[in-house]
Amino acid sequence: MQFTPPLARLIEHFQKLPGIGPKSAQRMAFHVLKMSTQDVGEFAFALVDCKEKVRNCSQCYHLSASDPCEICTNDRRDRSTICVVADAKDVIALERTREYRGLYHVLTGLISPLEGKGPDDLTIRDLLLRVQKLGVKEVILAINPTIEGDATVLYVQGILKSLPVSITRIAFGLPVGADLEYADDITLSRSLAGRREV
Amino acid sequence: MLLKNLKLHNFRNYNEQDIEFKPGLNIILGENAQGKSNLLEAIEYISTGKSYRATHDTELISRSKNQASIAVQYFIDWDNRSNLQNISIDFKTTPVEGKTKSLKLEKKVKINGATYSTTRNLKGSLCVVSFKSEDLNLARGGPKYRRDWIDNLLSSIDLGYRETSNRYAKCITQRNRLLKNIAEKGGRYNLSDSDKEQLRVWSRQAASLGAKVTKERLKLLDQMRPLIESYQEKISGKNEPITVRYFQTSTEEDPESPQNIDQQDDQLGPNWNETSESELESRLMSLYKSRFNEELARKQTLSGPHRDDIVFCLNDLPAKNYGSQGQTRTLVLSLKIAELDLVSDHLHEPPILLLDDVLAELDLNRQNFLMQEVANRKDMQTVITTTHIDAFQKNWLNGASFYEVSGGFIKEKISC
Ligand SMILES: [Zn+2]
Repeated sequence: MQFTPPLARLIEHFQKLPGIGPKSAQRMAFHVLKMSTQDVGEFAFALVDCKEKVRNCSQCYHLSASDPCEICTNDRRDRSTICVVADAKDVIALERTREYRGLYHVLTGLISPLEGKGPDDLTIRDLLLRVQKLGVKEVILAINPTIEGDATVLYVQGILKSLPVSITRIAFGLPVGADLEYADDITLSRSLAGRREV
Repeated sequence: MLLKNLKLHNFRNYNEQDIEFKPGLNIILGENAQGKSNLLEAIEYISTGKSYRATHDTELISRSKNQASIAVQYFIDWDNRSNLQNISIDFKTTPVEGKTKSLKLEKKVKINGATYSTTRNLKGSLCVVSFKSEDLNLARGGPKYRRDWIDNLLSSIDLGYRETSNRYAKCITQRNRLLKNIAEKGGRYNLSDSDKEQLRVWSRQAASLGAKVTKERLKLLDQMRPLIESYQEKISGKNEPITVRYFQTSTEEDPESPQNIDQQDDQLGPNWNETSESELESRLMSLYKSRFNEELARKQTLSGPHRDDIVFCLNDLPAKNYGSQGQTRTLVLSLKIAELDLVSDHLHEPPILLLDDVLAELDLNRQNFLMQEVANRKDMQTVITTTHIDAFQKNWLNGASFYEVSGGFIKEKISC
């Protein structure tokens, strides 16, 4: 049996979301029908409002409704340090630690020929300009140690090497509280490779 | 290591099967195509996380079924049989939405209760060395047989190697795509600065990982060479020096022909075993450079461990081209026993030896040698498949356990 057109359309839209299969999309659509008209209105408004207002910050490319973003305009942040990440989600993760007080730079991805992403599709040029303009002293690369992450790190290093800036990369290893016995082999061997003197 | 029990469900031609294995020799009898090899394939799959003969893992599931499983119980220590280990793999296929003929395969791997969705954590648990008729290709077949052999062996005794070679493979896939992109944009005279820089980055990474992989292979070969030599002397009674040559790639999948073997400039020199990692890395970088046009034309990385070859020589002549059939069999047999030694060293006790119908490939002298080596390793469990029991000399059968396979059923035979 066919869904009536408005319902079919809604299911179709839910199904375009990542990780949503036909079954879940149906369940979500039926749930929408059960919601109050006001809730549905607010939901629809939130979708459009978010799409209209949230942009990449023109300086650091983090996602924000204001441009420049809250981090770039915060006077108390240290302008001599930039932490480079692949994705806006990584900024959120690092901010949660409350450790870091410098600025960020979101590359909007990693170099990956397989995914059609070259250096020119990322914000590496803008990083170079920012480092020069702000007189940044330290660039911290907070980039996953995948093969694409490593290639991106090498590339960024190459681009920045003529500037008087120190470049570091954050260490990867065992999660805090992890039991050595249950750590997966790969994580363990990486932690061993990245060990430091104590 | 001691395999105690194997359970199969919808695996190949087995419907429901439960087998208890015994210490020492386990002899599996059966006509061809009854399921002898499938049994060893299942054990090896638990060990390596892949099948040596299925092109796709969906082939492992019985026809018209959509799920299958393999489960084993084993002891790590031969002496201490208190700590029973459990590994199981469930295979399940589901149709792909919108595509009538494709199936999606899901695997659920359980190692002592911990569940994983990939087989990458399997390696290093159950340790087997297997010897089957396909292994004769190690001497006579194309380079891929030798690369797969050395990669599998190193992966099973060196965790770091497994990780490095996986990363290397990913890196080569990326570099190949980049070469393709560049070729399609108009080749080397149309390279933008960022293309050039990107190529440098992927080449450097490929060379660095490639050198690590190669160095580990060279170390292993260096360690193995004297072992192979001594076993080969034991079999043939002749002291023929074995040398190893390591080729860093050629244009063709099958590079060495007898005429030009000494002229190839991509061969590591006589001190190949002393080549350092940084030397290997710069060799790779210069190979990339000198063959760049060819790489662009073929849109792939033509140099590196994924294209390398190992040539075993007897009296300095490549066994592959000059060896008699007897000599190549002796070489492969020596190689396999040397492999057994290395894995035993790593484990501090013998792995499980799987012999798939291999006696049929060997003459009496070599059969005797192999069975003597098996008998010498008192703490080793061996599973042998064969079509004929009369191939076995009486004295080898002492204390052996027998099983009979027929049409996907296996049962223990009390007497023979
Ligand atoms: Zn910003």
